[in-house]
Formats: sequence, structure tokens, C-alpha cells
Amino acid sequence: MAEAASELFSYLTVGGILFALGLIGFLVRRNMIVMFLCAEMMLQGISISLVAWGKYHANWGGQMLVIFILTVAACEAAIALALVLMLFHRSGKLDIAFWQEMREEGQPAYVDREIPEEREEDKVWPTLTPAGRLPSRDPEIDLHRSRV
Amino acid sequence: MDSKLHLLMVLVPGLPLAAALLTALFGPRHLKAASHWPVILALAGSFAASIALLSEVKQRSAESAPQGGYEHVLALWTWMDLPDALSMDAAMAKASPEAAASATAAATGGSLLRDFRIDVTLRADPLTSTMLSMVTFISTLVAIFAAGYMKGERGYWRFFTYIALFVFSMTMLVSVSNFALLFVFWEAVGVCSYLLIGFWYPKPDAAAAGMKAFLVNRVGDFGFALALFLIWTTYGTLDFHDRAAVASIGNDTVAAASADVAGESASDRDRGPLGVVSPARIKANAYWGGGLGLAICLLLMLGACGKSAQFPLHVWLPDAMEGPTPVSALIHAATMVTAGVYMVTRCTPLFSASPEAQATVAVVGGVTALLAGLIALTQHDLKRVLAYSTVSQLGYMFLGLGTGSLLGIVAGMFHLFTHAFFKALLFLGSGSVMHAMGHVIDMRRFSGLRTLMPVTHATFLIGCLALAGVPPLSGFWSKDAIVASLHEQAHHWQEAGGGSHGSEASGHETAEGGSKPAAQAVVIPAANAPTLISAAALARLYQGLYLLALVVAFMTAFYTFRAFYLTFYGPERIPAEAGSHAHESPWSMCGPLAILAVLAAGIGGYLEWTHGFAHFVSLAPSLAGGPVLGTEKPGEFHLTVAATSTLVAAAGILLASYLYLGGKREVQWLSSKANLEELSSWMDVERVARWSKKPWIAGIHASAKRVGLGWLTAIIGNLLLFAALLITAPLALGHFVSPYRLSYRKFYWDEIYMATIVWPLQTLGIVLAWIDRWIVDGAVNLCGRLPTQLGSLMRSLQMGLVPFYGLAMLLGVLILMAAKLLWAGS
Amino acid sequence: MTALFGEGPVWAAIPWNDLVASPLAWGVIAGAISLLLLIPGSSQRARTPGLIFAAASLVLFGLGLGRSESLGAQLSVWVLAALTVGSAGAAIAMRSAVYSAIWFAVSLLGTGGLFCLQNAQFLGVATVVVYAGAIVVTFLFVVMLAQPEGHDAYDRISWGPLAKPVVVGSSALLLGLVLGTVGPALGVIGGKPVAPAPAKTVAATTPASAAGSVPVAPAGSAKDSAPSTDAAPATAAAAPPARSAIDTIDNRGHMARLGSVLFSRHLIAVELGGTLLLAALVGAVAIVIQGRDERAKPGVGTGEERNHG
Repeated sequence: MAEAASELFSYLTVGGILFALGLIGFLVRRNMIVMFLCAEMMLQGISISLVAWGKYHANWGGQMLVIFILTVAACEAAIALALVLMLFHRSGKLDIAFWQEMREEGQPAYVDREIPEEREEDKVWPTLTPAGRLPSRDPEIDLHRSRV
Repeated sequence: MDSKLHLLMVLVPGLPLAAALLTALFGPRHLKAASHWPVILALAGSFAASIALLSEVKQRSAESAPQGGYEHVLALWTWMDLPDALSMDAAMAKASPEAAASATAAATGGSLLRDFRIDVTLRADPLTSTMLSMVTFISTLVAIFAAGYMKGERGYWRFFTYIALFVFSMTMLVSVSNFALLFVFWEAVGVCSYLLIGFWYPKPDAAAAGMKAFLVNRVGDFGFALALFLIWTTYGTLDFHDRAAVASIGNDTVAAASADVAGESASDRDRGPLGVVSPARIKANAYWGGGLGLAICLLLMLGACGKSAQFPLHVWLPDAMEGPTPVSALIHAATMVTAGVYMVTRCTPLFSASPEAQATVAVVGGVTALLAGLIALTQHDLKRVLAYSTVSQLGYMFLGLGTGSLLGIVAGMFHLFTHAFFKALLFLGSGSVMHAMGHVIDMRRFSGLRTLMPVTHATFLIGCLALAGVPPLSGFWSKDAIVASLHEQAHHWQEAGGGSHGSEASGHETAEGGSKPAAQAVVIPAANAPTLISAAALARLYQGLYLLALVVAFMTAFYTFRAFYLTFYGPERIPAEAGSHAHESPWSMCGPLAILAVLAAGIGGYLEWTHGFAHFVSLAPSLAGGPVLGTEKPGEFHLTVAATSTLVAAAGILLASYLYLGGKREVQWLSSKANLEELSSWMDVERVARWSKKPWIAGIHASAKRVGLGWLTAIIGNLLLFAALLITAPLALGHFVSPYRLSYRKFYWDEIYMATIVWPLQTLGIVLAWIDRWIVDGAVNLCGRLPTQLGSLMRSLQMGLVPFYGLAMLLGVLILMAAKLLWAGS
Repeated sequence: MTALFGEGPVWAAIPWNDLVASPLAWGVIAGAISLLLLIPGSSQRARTPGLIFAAASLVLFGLGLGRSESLGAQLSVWVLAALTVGSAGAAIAMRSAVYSAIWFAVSLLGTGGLFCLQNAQFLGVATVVVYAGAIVVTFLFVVMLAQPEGHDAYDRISWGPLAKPVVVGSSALLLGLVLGTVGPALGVIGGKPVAPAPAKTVAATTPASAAGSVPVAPAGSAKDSAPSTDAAPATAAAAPPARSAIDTIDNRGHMARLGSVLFSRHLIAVELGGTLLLAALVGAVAIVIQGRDERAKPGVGTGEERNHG
């Protein structure tokens, strides 16, 4: 069974690393969307561990739990995205640092450090490869469209 | 029969109380400028009731006269009742004069359990009814006067509410038959006095004067309260009367007070202890002498000093003149300030047991009379002169009480009675002057008012003559009685010091005419012998006080007429404040003045002539039995003493007439002499330096210069100058405390109290306040702030940022894991 | 104090030498350094050193992983683990939220593969479909709607200067502690085949030992201290007991068995999960409707119009 233990340990390691990465991301990043991604990442780490334990012990418990984790994650995503959207409506930002009204009375608000300049390579925005030809645009229509 | 008496006893204080409530409730809204009507009517009704009470008491006391005084006690309800509150230990009970003298206490084996029970009781006896009629009469007249005087004042209704409340308190003060209730109403009149002195409370002086009166009275009341505690622990009761002799409303069949209830009835517990000044106790003469008796008496005297403005505590009364003048007339001249005299008179048996205390009373009275008389000589404020004369006359009353003889005590009460009339008259007269002068009272600013205010002038003159003690007027008779009693007392102690005790006792026995020979003969010498002072010293003391009284009589005549002349004679001057309404006062003010003038002139002579007052008052239980009976009978007229005091008064009036009717130069000269102004010239450096310009000194200096010794003479001269200044420096103090200045600055008593009591206490208060604020409160606040500070350390963690909470969770998990690893195995 | 601390210091029981020799420890350290370098911070750095450290940590982790029976299996584990971990690291290191989401989706693909390797094919597919296909795409939608410029200033920095080292350090410590205790317990680290003791870990937290009355020896010295009591669970764990057909996990009839277990033993939980989903759906709608009532604040107009217009 040394192989079983060894295999278990491999997956535990991967799960642990995923959990740790998610934790780091959750604590360090400030974009609310990214923070929720990191929370999901932690759930993934846990899921991997559970599945590994389930295989090690040869029962369905781990997989069952992971199914429910999936369920809960879906719920969480729904609620979280709704909340994020609402907060975004209020502030126009996805910055979690904007929302700190729950601090103790009299506490100074957290103030950002100076934000470094954006680098050129960061400005690259994922784009779709253009396919086909560009549609001919009627300048008249373009003139009256409010958005793209 | 009894019910009529009871009705009167309740009506006398009840009517003013009803008026006070009525005015307080309806004054501000409905009565307004008519607020005086209920009060005047109630006071008049109260006066009528007290006159009826007086005649009733007089009639009854005449019937029960031989039994050692008349009293009728009416119990209204029981205020408090604590069974077995005091257990006198056996030794004390054995040693108590009551146990020794009272057969019942001895029979119960000396275990004396006392209930602390206070019944609200009213009493009717000659002393009380006299006081009642005087108080209600004066207050009625003052209320009528005030209706004119206070017209248009803010708080008109408030004034009359206070007045009615005061009259209620004062009538209760003299009516109640219990020390505790006496104390209650003693305080009540103090409160009314405070309220009325500070009636014009927006005026800082008035507010301060009210506060001063109240605080100074606290000192006296402290002594009074201590005296009450001592009386309670010593005598086991605070009642004046025996509980057996109490009637209650609807129960007319209770036996009237009689002296011989004490001895025979079955159970001592049912009746309670003998009243402190009840006829039975007085008959048995069961009073503590010695240190305990002296302590009680001195503490009582301290209370009387506070209320009656006697020597150490006299400082409040002159300041109390800041109140409206009718208040000064009613409270601070005629009624409230005599409460101390009344109280000491009521406690005569207690004082009789302690001759030292009596001597103290006499000395305090004498010192006060002299001090206040001296101060009154130089005051410029008309009301202040009258205030000091009041203090002085109160001192006179205490002089009379301090003799300890029936003659003296009755004389003191008599003086109280007559003084109320003429001093109220004088104060109301000064109020009339103030009213006309636009509330200016400084005698330097007006003069020659006799043509302007003829009625005031005439009545004031009568009051002055009465105060000065000019023969046919009432002041003469009462003052003369006091002086005579002092004279008699000096003789009495001279005889006692010279002769033996036995002869004194037998003398008493013959003097009493055998009414209660056995009891007197046994008890008096033991209880009444002075222990601290020899009889000869007492004789010298009373002789000195006699002379002092004559001096004070001289000064009284002088300063009274000084004020009179300064106000009503000389060129007519009217201060600007008076404006155009400097005129005679309306009828509501002149009427009371006229009535009072008639009485001030006549009542003394009438009562003296008929011997009515002395005989009637001496039927009060406190005076009708016990040791005072053995002294000089009242009512005898001492021709030599009377002649002397008349001469003295006449001399004072003549001197005042000479100085203040004639030229002013003598006055100037006298006051500058009294001010020791020569001394100040010696302090002048230039004057001393001018000596060097004298020809012979300059000559010596010049010749010395010529032989080259100029430096020597210069040094000698300067040394001499310096020495002269050094020698004259102490004279500056003499200038500072010159007789005139001492008198004018009231012997610096206010400053002395300020420096010795007020400032140290203030400093202590500031220090204690600081300690309380910063150390006690600081400790408490520290206890409160420490958790807050500790908490705010944690507060800074609550940043409101989600990731920080997450980080805290992560660190917490780490710590838990580390702990698990380290301590509980992996 | 001995009762509290157990028999002898626990530190002594931890195979420090083995831990230091294990590549995992160095992998954790290298990964931590790479994250410190790569996660967006106050200053802009070149990415190369961070990438080098990241590659090194991946290699070290791969070396530290347990060995499988066949090379093919080993290789697939390596590849999938590297894919999962690497793309997860990329997801948190990206400055752009869109890239983060994309990298997370890649990481989810790796996770799904790992699930499949673990006899959890359904979960693997479900993860890819539900997570990568639905949730992450939804995230992407939101990001695209909210941040048309791609990334904002707050994406380029993290919290104050201390936050990053503290977070990374303590997370690494956490990971190290977990691996450092689980590894020796499973016998993977240190070479000594210590019997894996799931029962043992349960026993260690029983109330009796927690109360400290019976000091339980740490796992490393379990055999020395109490061989007789530990023997039975150890063997039980080493050889999983025979189970009924429904309990065994293998590839044949996987879905059928999973479904039968799910809808028999865990039926109530399934119902509850469904209810939870419904509640979340209603809640999300309610939140958005509430938020709509309170919008129309100045300055947020563009995002809204695009969302609802």
C-alpha cells in the first residue's frame, strides 16, 4: 500500500498547493472578481484532497462531498456575482478597498499606496482573432448608435 | 371648654399656613397685586385668636397658679415612635438626678428604657401665649405696612407667601412642646429668613447676605442639634411636658397639668419619662448639673447665639438688612432673632442647674451689647445702626437671662416684648424713610426730613426715646428691669460669697413663703452651687456687667439720637434717587407706625404699672417652679437704679444733641481724635526730613563741616532719621486700629472670620475638590478608561477590510496548528 | 507540564533531516519566492526571475510527489499537477482580471484531469463543465462588463508593503506544516514506511487524550511507545476492509454507482443542495433588483447602461 499512500500524498500536495495559492490570492489581490476566483481555487484544492482521500479509503464520501462543494460553489458564485454587480453599481469599481465602511468608528480609512505606472505589456487586452472581413459600416448608422 | 382652647391653639399657626398656601397657589396667577389681602386677614385672625388664647390662658393660669405653673398641651398626631430606642445603663440611670429624685424611677430598679417618640404637640402657657400675641400683632402690622412698602415690586405674592410662611413657622416655634419640633421650626424660620433676606436675589449683596445668614446660623444650629442629642441621652425625652398631661383633639377629659401626677401613678413606662421642662420635673428639680449640665447649656446657648446674633455669631444680622425693610422689622428685629431668648427662657431650669452656664450667657450678652453698641456709633447706614442696636438689645436680653434670677429672666422677656414694638417701629420708620428716599439709606446723603415726613418723624422720635430708655416709654421699664436684676444679682453673689451656704438656703426658704419648702431646701444647694467659679468672682462679674449695661445704655441713647438727628434734622437734603416722590408715606405705612408708636410709648409703662407681664409670665412652668423661684421676685422697682440709667440715657441724648444739632466742628474733631490722625503725620517721611532744615540742626551741621566732620553729622542725622521711622512704624498699626476705624469697620470681625474660617475652608475645599477631581475621580476614570484603551488597541484591527479579516483567520489557524504541534502532539 | 507537552519535546519527533532533504520543502520556499516576485505589487519588476523560481518550484514539487506504479501514470500526474498548479499560480499573478479568469479555467482543466485519474470521472467532467464552462465564463462576463478597459489601477497593486510578504510567508508556512506533518505520517517523506494511520489521527483527538490524562505519543514514535494498541488500526488502515459492491470505487459502472450512492445515501443532502441552489437563485435576483432601486448614482452610468441597456 506504499504506492497508495504515495499517490495520496501526491494529490494532497497538489491540493495543498492549490489551497495555498488560492489563499494567497484571496488575501493579496484587490479585485473582487479575482478574489472570488481565488476562493473557488481554494475549494478546488479541497476537492482534490477529498477525492484523493476517498480513493485511498475506497469509498464515495469524498466524491459526494465534492459534488456538494460544486453545488455550494455555484450558489456562492451566483450570490457573489450579484453582490459584486451591485457594489459595482454603487462605486463604479471592483476594488474591495473601496468598501471599508464596516471599520471601527474613529479608525482612519485605508489609503492606497501610490499606484505604479502601467507597463506596456500589461495593456495588452485579450482580443479575438479577426475572422472574415470587416463589415462595412454605414457612417450614418455609426453616427446614431450610442454604443459599439 | 377645652375644645375652645384647642381651636385657638390650632388657629393661631393654622391661619398663616392657610394664607401661605393660598398665596403660593393663587398668588402668581389670580391674586397678583391683591396678594396681601389673604395674608393680612389671616394674620389679623391669628392675632385675634392669640389674644383670645392669651385671655383664656390668663384666666386658667390664675386658677392653677399655686401649683407651679400652668401649661396645656395638645397632641395632634404622633410623628415618630421608636420603642425602646434608648437604654440608659444602670450606673447612669442610678446617677441621674431624676432617678435619685423621682420615686418611680427608683422603684423600677434603675433600668430605664426610653421610647423615641415625638408627638406633634402644641402647648399653651403664659410664655407661649405672650410670644404668640406679640408675634402675630407685629406681623399683622408689618404685613399692612409691607402692602404699601412693597407695592409694585416683582414677586409681590412671593413676598407675602414668605411672610405668612414665616409667621406660621414662628408661631409653631413658640407653640410646640418638643425640642425636636422646636428644632424643626427653628430651621423653618431660618429658611424663611434666608428666603426673605435674599428676596431681591438678583442683587449680589442680597444673595450673599442670605447665604451668610444661613451659613452662620448653621454653626449655631450645629450646637443646638448637639444639645438636643445630649438632652435625649441624658433625660431620655425631648418633650417639654409630661406625656401624662397631654390632651388630644376630641378628648377633653384628660386631666389638666398638675404638678403632682408624677409621684403616684402605676406604670412609669406608660407615661414615659418626665418632660424636660415639665412642672413635675421642675418640682423635683431633677436636672443634671456639673459638666454634663454645663455642656448642654453651652450648646443650647450656641444655638441661641446663632439665631439671636450673639457675639461670636453676630455677623450675619447687619448684613441681613439687605432684605426688604418690613422683613428687617419683622424677622430681624422683633420676632425671629428673639427665638434664642425664648429658647433660653424655656430652658431656664436647665440653666439654673449650672451657674457657670448662666454666667456665660450673661457674659456673652454683655460682650455683644457692648460690641454692637460700639459699632453702631459710627455707622452711616440707618438700617445698619438699627441692626447693631438690635444686636445690642438682644445682648441686653441675654444679660437679663444670664442673671439666672426670676427677676432677670422676666426682665429679659419683658425687654423682648417691648423691644419688639419699638424696634419694629424704628425699622418701619426707616423703611418709610427709604421708601421716600428712593431706597437710599446712607445717612450722609439725606438730612432734615422732619418737615417732609412729619408722621415718620414723630413716630421715629417715640421709637428713639423708647430705645434710649427715657422714663415714661416702654423701653425704659424693661431696660431698667434688666439693669436692676444685674444689680441685684451682684448683691446676691456678694452675700453668698460673704455669708455661709446655710444662711443662703434659709434665705431662700423665707423668700419662697413656704410653698414647697422641703424640696427646695434639699435640692437647691446641691444643684445650684457654682463649681468652677467662686461666688466672689461671680459677684464681681455681675457688678462689672451692671456697669457695662449702664455704659451700653449711654451708647444706645447716643447712637440712636445720632441717627435720628442725622436723618431728620439739619438742612433738608434729598438724594437724586428719590426724584420727585419724596413725600410722606401712604396711610398703609403710616397707620402701623402710629399704632406701634402708641404701643411703644405706652405698653411698657402699662404692664409695669399693673405688674401684669411679670406675674403672668412667671406662671409659665419653666419659671414657676424650681430654683428660680427662690430668687428675687419680679416687679419691684429700684429707684436708684432707675435714676442712674435715666441719667445715663439723658446724658447720651444730650451729647448727641450737642454734637449733631450744633456745629459740625466738634464731631470732626472727635472723629479725627478717635481716628488717631496725629499718628499718621508721624509716618510722613518728608515731615521728619524737614527736621534737618531746622536752623539749629543746620547750624551744627554747617559748623561740623567747617572742621571737616560733615560726614559724621550727616551719618548721625541719617541714623536718627532711620531710627525715628523705625520707632514710628508700629504706630501705623495704631492708626490702622484706631478706635474710630475699629468701630467703623465693625472690629474687623468679618475680616477675621474671612481670614480664619472662610479662607482656610475655601482653600481646603479647593484642595479637596482638586483631590476629588484628579485623584479619586482620576482613579475611577482610569478604571473606566483602561479597558477602553485596551479595547482601542484591538479596535485598530477592525479595519473594515475583508482581506485583513481573512489574514487574521489564516494567522489564527497557523497559531492553532503550531500549538497543536508543540503541545498536544501532531 | 509533561502531560501537556506529551512525552518529550515534539520537535524532536519531527524528522527535520528528512524534511530538509525533501524537495517539497525547497519547492515551497521557491514557490513562495516566485510568488513574491510575480504577484502585482508596488513596484514593477522583470518577470524572468519570478518565472525561473516558479519553474524551479514546479520541478521541486514534481520531485517531491509520491511515486506511482507506472511511468505513464506518473507522467500524467506530473503533467496534470504542473498544469493545475502552474496555471493557478498564473491566475493569482496576473494583473488583469480577465487573464486571471482564463488561467483559472486552465487550472480547472488540470483539476478535472486529476479527478479523472482518481477514479472520479464524473467529477472531472462536472468540474470542467460547471466550473470552467459556466462559473468562470460568468465571471468573465462580469469582468468584461465591469472593466471594459481590462484592468484597473487596483489590479496592479496589492495591500500595503507588509501584506504580501506576510500573506505569502504564512501561507507557505501553513502549506509546509501540512505537508510536513502529513508526509511523515503517510511515510512518504523520510523513506521510513510508517503505516498511515487515519485511525491514529482520530485517536489523537479523542477526548481522553485531548484532556491530557493519557499522553498519546506523536505519530513518529507511535510504534515505540504503544505498539499493541496501535497495531490494530494501523493494519486496518493499511489494508482497507472488504466493502460491499456499492462502496468500492473502480471504473466499471462508475456513474451508476455514483448515482445510486448519491440518490440513496445522500438523498436528503441532494434535496437540500437543490433547495440551496433555488434559494441562491432567488437571492441573486433579489439582490440585483434591490441594487437597481438604489442605483442612478452619478459617475456609474456607463456600466449600468451596458448591463441593462
